[in-house]
Amino acid sequence: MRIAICDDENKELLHLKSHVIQFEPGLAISLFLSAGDLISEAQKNPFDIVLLDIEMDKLNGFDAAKRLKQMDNPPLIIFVTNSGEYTIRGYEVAFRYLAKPVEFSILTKYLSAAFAEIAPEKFTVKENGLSCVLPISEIYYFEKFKHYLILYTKTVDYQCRMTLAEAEESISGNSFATPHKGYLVNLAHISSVGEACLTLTNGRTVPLSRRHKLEIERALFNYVRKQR
Amino acid sequence: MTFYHLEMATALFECLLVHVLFNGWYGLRNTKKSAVVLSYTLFFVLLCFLSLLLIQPFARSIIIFFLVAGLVRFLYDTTTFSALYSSLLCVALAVGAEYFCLALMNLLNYDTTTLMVEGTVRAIYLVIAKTVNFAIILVVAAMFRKKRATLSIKQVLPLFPCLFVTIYVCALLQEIYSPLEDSLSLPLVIAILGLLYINGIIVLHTQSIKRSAVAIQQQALANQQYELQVQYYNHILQDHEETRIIRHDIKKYMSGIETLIEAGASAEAKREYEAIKQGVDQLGEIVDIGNTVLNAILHNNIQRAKAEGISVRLDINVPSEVPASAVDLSVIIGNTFDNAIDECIACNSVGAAINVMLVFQNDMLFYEISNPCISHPHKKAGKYHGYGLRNIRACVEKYNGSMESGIEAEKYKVSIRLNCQSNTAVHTEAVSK
Repeated sequence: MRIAICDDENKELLHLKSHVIQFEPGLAISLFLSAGDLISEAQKNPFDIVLLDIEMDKLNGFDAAKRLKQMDNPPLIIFVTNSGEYTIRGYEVAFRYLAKPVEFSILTKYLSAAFAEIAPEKFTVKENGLSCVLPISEIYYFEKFKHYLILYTKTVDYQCRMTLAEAEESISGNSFATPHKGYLVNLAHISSVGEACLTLTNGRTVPLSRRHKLEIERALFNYVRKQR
Repeated sequence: MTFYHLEMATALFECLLVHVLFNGWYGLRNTKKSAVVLSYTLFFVLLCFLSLLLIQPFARSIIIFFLVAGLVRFLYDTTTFSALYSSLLCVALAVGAEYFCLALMNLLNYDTTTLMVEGTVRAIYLVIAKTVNFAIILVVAAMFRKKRATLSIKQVLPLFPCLFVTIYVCALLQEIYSPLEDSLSLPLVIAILGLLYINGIIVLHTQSIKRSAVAIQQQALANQQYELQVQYYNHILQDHEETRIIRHDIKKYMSGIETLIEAGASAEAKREYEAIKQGVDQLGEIVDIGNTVLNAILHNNIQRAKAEGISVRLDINVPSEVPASAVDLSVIIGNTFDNAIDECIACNSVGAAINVMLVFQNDMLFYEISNPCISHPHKKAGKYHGYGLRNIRACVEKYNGSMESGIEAEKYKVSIRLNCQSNTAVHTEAVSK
């Protein structure tokens, strides 16, 4: 895991570094006093996580983040800012925001979330005797079909001999919910909730029963809260 | 020949019934007005043609069902399945009304054969049946309305006396004309057509008044949003002016501090330094989350909360453009924020804080606001009082969203989710930027 910290104030840089070491000793940490240096290094050796100050001379944090996000292996960016608690920008760029002075407890929470994002949990599916390991985040939904279970991902659908309960157990702790009898859907891939169906980010629809609608609504909110 | 004119008038009235029902349920698609007029003209012609055919009532009902379903699917914002079952309901209501009136006329000693033969009795029976059908449709459309511009039950009820009077006048006409002649007389036809016209026009005008009222309310809300933007802009100007003054005076302050330090008056120097620091700290209170509409809405409410000594914690992740109307966002966030502040004041708790989460994810907007509370929230007096919970719910419904509120661990929480696909028809109003 490679972490970069970028701040034009040396004192802040060292303060952040000490917090990161306290969180996880043994991490490869690179320090940068300018966003330009950070980008040059990231082009050669990509970082997994970048703690990035927003208010910097020449290239500011927002612009640097946009350039980092355009790279082949973009890092997760945690903005560090002293520009006021009501200045929150950087949709689709920022993973999280940290207000200065940085509190260790909040940094720990955000770094833990970033680690979980970078190293997602896996799910093993057996189809025709062959095992395939998938990141759970790539699963859109499970559908019970006779004695089988169909697992839908963005590109491939798998059919395996497994019960829905077994699948639910394997992915316990992850954000899945039941919209209808015989279905288990990944909340991360829901793009709209209709009267009788859920639309997923790949355009597919999953039936939604009246009985499960409130559960799904609550699960979605819990999922979003958990992501924050 | 006169009787066919009457059949045509009832066919026209049926067109009105169909429009009242389905416009209330689904609303028109973004179809050209000419297409709507043309479709209804075709529907009207086919209904007239059907009335000329000597076919079984059941077969006629089946044909009308398919005609209505086709019309609804083409003109109204619905799916094929919904169009089919709602058309079935529409035809069932019409048949039900006819059978009800048939039974009523039978009770008044008019046999079914007389009612099916051209003449005064059938003409009056037709008008009564259509009037009853109209009353039922108004109630059904009001009960399951999806658009705010559709008449509600409360607005439909005053129309009922008109419908009852129509039936009563029909009964009187029956008494006068029925014994005199079998064929239709011109005064009777004029009276019948007049009754149908009056009822139709009253409903259309009432709907038009309702639409105007909704438009006026939308205008008021848009003005509210505009005022928020102006206030936000003025605050930015004020902040900019303060920054300019501080920048102008900073050298003067620095040199003053330097002199004080040189003179060994460190306490005074520190006081001077604190004064500058306080001035600088007061700057940068402008809300900037990268979305101008939300900036203005949040800024106004945060300033109000701060003035009351309430802190606000924001957790926001939204793009610069949210595919939702600025007015709707203003109604939802403005009203819930207002309620949260009022509740904090009512609580009178020290260090009260309002937590706001606003996250846009996968074409959905998640909004949650929580505040400390001691009882179930109450409300309130203010300039925009009245655009409260009812309007929030109406906005949420527009986006096929969800809303849940309740007390949890001594905090009142409102959670709202909106479906915000940019291609959804309801979001064609001003998009927030």
